[in-house]
Amino acid sequence: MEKIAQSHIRNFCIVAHIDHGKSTLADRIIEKTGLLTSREMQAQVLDNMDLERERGITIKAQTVRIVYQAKNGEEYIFNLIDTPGHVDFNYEVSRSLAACEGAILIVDAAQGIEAQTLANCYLALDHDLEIMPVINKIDLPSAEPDRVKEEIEDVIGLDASDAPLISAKMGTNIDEVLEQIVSKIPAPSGDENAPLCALIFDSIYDAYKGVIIFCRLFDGSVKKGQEIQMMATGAKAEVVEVGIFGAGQFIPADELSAGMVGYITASLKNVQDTRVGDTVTLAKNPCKEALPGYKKVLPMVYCGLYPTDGAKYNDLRDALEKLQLNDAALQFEAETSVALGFGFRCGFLGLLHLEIIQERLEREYNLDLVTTAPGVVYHVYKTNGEMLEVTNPSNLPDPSEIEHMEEPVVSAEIMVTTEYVGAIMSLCQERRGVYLGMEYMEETRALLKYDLPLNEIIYDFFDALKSRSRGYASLDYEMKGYVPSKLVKLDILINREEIDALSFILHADTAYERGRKMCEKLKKEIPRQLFEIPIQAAIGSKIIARETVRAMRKDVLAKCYGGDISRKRKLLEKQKEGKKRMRQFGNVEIPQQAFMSVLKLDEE
Amino acid sequence: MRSNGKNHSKEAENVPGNDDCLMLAKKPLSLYIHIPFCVRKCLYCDFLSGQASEEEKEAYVKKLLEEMEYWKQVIWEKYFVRTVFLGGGTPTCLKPSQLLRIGRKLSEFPLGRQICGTEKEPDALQPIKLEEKNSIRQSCGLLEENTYRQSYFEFTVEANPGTLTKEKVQVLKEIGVNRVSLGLQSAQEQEIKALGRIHTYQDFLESFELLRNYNFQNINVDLMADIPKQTVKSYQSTLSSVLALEPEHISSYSLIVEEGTPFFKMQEEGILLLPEEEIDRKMYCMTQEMLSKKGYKRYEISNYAKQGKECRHNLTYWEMGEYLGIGLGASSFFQGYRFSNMDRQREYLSLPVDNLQKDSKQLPKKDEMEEYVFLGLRMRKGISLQDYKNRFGLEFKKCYQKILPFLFENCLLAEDQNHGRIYLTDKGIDVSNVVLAEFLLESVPE
Repeated sequence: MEKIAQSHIRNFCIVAHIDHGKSTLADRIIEKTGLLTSREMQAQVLDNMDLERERGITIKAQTVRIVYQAKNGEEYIFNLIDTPGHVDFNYEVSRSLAACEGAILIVDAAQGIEAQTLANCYLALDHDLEIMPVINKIDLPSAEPDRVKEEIEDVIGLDASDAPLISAKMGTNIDEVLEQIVSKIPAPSGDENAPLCALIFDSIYDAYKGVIIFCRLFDGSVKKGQEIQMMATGAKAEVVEVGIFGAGQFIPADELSAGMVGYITASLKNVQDTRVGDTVTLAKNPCKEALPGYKKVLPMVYCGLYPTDGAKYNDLRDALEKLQLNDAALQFEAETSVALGFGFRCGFLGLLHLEIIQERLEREYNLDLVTTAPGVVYHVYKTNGEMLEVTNPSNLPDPSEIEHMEEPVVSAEIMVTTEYVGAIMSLCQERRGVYLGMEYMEETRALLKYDLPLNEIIYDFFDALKSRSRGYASLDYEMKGYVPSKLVKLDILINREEIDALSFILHADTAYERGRKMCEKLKKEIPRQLFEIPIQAAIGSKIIARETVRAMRKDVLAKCYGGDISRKRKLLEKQKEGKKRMRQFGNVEIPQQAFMSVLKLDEE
Repeated sequence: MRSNGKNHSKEAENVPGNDDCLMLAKKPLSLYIHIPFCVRKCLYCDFLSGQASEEEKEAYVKKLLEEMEYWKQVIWEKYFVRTVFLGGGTPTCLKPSQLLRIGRKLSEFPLGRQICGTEKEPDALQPIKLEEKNSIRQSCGLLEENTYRQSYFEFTVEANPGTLTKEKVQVLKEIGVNRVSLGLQSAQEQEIKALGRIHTYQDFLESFELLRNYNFQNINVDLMADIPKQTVKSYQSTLSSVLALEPEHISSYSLIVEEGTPFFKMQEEGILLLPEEEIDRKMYCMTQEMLSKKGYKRYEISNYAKQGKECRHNLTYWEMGEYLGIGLGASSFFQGYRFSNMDRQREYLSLPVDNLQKDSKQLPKKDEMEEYVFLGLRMRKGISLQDYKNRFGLEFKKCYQKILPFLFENCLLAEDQNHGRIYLTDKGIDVSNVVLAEFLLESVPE
């Protein structure tokens, strides 16, 4: 392969608020560069997981190398590094940004700047990226490109005078974007002769190739046969193959050198060894110091995952192990529950991450799961001076042994149009938020700053935020630290039996309200059975709420009309199918849906 | 050979080319004949029926006769027809001449013994004497527990009050109909109206009287519980009114709101006010109490009959006997296969008669075992453990050993030790789907 000079390489990413059109623009860029014909284009080429396409969000960073014939007659290599689009994956975003020289900032011509626009833009500025604003969705009737340009200049302080006005959906003005990538985004300027220094911005596990490291080379070069070393984890391996990214395929190359983006395979069996943010160097000739910014990502949210069918426990473990090969942020360890049997306590970056893993387990591994209420990591200080990290409510020591407890807090920024400021402030108040301040971005929009306990936002805060602002509020947050808090364990009793999988830890002041809501919700979710079922919420031995599911009195008896029994059979099969999705607790059958439903209490 | 002491010569007219002995060597079969027409569709009805022009009805009857001719030849050698059920829709909305043609075609079938004229119908629950049984067994080598039923023939026609005229009743008599099922639903005018039915209570009384005048000695009255705005009291009054007429058979089902009906839409819109479950159960209990006092026996979840007047046609379904469905969309269970006819009028009318069937499926053993139980348990007497074993070569209690203790302990199911039968208790009847669903199998037990 012909070696391309660094001056003709552009490494960039696209940052945007969710739904502002990131993946669509990526598609258009790939299409325009002629690497793929229109027919080959699947919608949203970069999002290759089904789940991503369905949810319209990017989960894993993806990357593609394309060839652009510029108007000046020269050929340029574009490395487009797609970044995850959710606050759960902030760290991954930051590592992807670190691999680039520039970023395209997409702003929706109708909605303007949102919380994640700002957050991602600041993140890009932190990495000294050249930011190239683009205004998208100008085809919308409600588009106001001039206002949005002004907003970009006022709020972010970027020159937006020549920002391309595009419609990624319609393919309008994409050429201008491509030309500006060449003219505005700096070329890389690494030292090819220095020791290898490459940033891992993603890694995936492939059944045939083992771990595939996605990296950006800053200095030096790497080729087959060399021994590489990860500077943080210390893992060493011999390079089997290096190459670049086609669209959805890997194209082997002889060598990767400074300024390039590509992949390395090196017979590594576990992505735990190739953590995002780590630096790859040569074992025999290492670079002096690792690239800055590496941190081991820690799960923020924990929950129990249990197979519906106890016999599937080993299948679940195998599936989690396989997913972990690809997802260094996923953690799990075995646990048992009285109610649910054998399962795993799993750690996730956030609720979205949790839902994605759960769905992948169910879809790709065909497992039926019961999920327990997600919780955070509490610091429990015992009277004997010990400190426990509690992720499972069942492991909370007896109250008499607890000196005090601390819970994690995040600092949150919420952007909202001024008319909903009141509604959002009262929501934050209800969620025990500490008000820090408010800035007006422009006349009609404000940025609210709050410290919020993490356990108040992992359930349904995002949904509540959207519903109370009619979808106009946007949220960004980062971990701040631990603060002391008055926490209690709330237990749920169904038919007088404690269901450990429904217990959780929460602030004493919210316990009554939540206990009541949980009982109400469970009453709706638990179908009537042959006897009356009391549902109770308790703190210790004190019952704080109660509901009753009345006994079932009758069910439908269809006529067996004209000997057509197929209908009766269908009815019974449906009945049986419904029962399969239930869990038996003593005499009571609880649908699995009930375990997840109690997590969304604020929707009505 | 005689199965009972009946005069043979009279039957010979009705059963051309057959005598009792031959008939017993043949297997019994039930026929369901579907008439998908009605004067106007009721608001709760999701059966295959609707209004039609005279031309459409005539084309349909022609096709029906063709199909009957086809099946007559198929079954001729091996079967005889034990029961016929002419249902709908409203069969009596056909013209007398059309009913007559259907009846004549039917008379060409090998039929079970016809009871006609002044001849007294035998008591169905009076089994054949042992020596008779033995003699039948010896001569034909084929005898079921219920042979006594084979000795006569049941021919039911569904009729709606308001569609019965003298002329039609006369035709029914002429073609050998010996059981009429009248769809009344309620004796309260506002309830009849709420269901969207075409008749009044007075119409019903006139139809009933007309049938009695023509000496119909086996009449069923269909009633309904859970009608919008119905109360326990109004239902009680309906029962009393109907009991005063002393029909031989009463069936009472709770209203089911089926998808695609006007009631379904009304329910979605929240304007259909149905009685509460507790009320429904009260009405159910009351039906049982009032009817048993008057000598009716609940032989199936929703069916009550005077001694010997159980609907044998329906028993065929519940006991997994063989039946053929003739007409639009009609279902069959024949020679181990379940199938049904095309349910679109155009297809039914245009396809050749031997190609009308669809979804034909040989019933796998697993399905047969399940259906035997969930159909059999609809009957008050339930299922026979011995019969189960004979039929499937498996012990019922072993097949369901996991779930039976739960069902017995919760009084949903009970065992009649004397007769070796398992049946649903009253509580089990209330929640029959919960119980019956337990009898669906994952696979055929070893």
